[in-house]
Amino acid sequence: MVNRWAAALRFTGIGFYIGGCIAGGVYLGVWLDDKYQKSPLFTLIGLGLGLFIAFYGTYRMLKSALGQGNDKDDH
Amino acid sequence: MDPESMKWIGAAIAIGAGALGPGIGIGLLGYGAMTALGRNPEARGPIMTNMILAIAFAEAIAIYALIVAILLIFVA
Amino acid sequence: MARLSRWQKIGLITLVALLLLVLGCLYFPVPKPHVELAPEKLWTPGGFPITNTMITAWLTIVVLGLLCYFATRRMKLVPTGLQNVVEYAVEMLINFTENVAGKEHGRKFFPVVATIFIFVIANAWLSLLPGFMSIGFWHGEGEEQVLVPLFRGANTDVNVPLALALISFVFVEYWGIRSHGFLRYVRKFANVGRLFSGVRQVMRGHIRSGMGSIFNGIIDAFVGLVEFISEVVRIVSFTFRLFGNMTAGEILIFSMLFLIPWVAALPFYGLEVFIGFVQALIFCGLTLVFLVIAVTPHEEH
Repeated sequence: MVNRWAAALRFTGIGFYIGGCIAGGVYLGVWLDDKYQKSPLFTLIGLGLGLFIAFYGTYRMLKSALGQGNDKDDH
Repeated sequence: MDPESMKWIGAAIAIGAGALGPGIGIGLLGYGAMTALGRNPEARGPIMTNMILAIAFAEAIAIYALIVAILLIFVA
Repeated sequence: MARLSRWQKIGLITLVALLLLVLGCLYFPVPKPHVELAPEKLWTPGGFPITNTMITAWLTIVVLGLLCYFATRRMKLVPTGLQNVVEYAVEMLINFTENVAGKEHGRKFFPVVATIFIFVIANAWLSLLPGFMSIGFWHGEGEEQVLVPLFRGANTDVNVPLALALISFVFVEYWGIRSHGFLRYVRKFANVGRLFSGVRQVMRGHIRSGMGSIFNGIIDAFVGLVEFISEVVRIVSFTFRLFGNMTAGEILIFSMLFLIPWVAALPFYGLEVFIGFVQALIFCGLTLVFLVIAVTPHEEH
């Protein structure tokens, strides 16, 4: 029973991680934009960074959570 | 009646009446697919593929009606 | 923290979610959706307008190119990693093509049909990333400010589905002409053979059979004309099916976000993912079906 909750919480955590990274990146971009008045350039950079960190982190987390059986074949 | 309200009424009628036909059509397609699936559960793959294909044909008509409604509200 | 019971955990999570929702609604209000069917032009260097859907289409091309470059970099015979994923997708596509079109024609139809599928699905799924339709430039002044988005899904521009529909039409006609010969393929649409033979029979004196042949000939010619019209109307149907689905999905997500921010758009986001896949499959599948119809030998009487 406790395994189901742990797995569910871990996946919910991944969801919050994606949302938080993207929101954080965009918020940082918007704040820098307001400070330096360079139309949406910083927003885009912040968004790109946020997206990249979010998806790369998801890939790493899922790889460790799901790929425990796949690293043992022989090439 | 002023043109503004006629546009809104026109958009509502367009999508309302335009979704009747495709709704019935998709229901008939689903009925046919379920019947075929019940008679021959092993042919699940081809039945489902062809059903989705035919449903997209029927749904395109509803999308045409939706385009007319959107044109009436946002462009005209 | 003491061991909470199952219901207490559910209650706590619901409370936190509701709190986040209320804070989000208060501090980040969503503006009313402003819909414009035509894509907005951003810059006009040298008289050539660049619209935001054009930028997104270029982005799709770059993403697909990078994906294929990284997948084929160090190719192994037994694929692993990214090469495995891409090979799986290609294998599904070619199985689908060969199931519909048969083995020998399937290989010949595969390049254009698979490209249409991959392009449509990449456009549709890329437009779901955050940042599309929300980051852009503000035009207008004061209360009348309108956001001109920098990125907009490429399928929501009428030109992209129209271009794909024209490519599909030309491809179908090309294969029809190539497998039947130009005259026989045209004779499928302008089916006046029986009409002329009926007229010839009447002139030779066989009135009754001549009139029968003329009657059947007129029906044949009419059917041929209707088939030709349906071939051309197919372009319009393809265009508006893809355009309508994508634009309607985008407007739906805007409206849902405007009504209940953060939450109401989630099931519709899932629906958009599914609809993107289904529309790509429909475009590619219908092109395949029409190709098969154009290529099968016409029964002679």
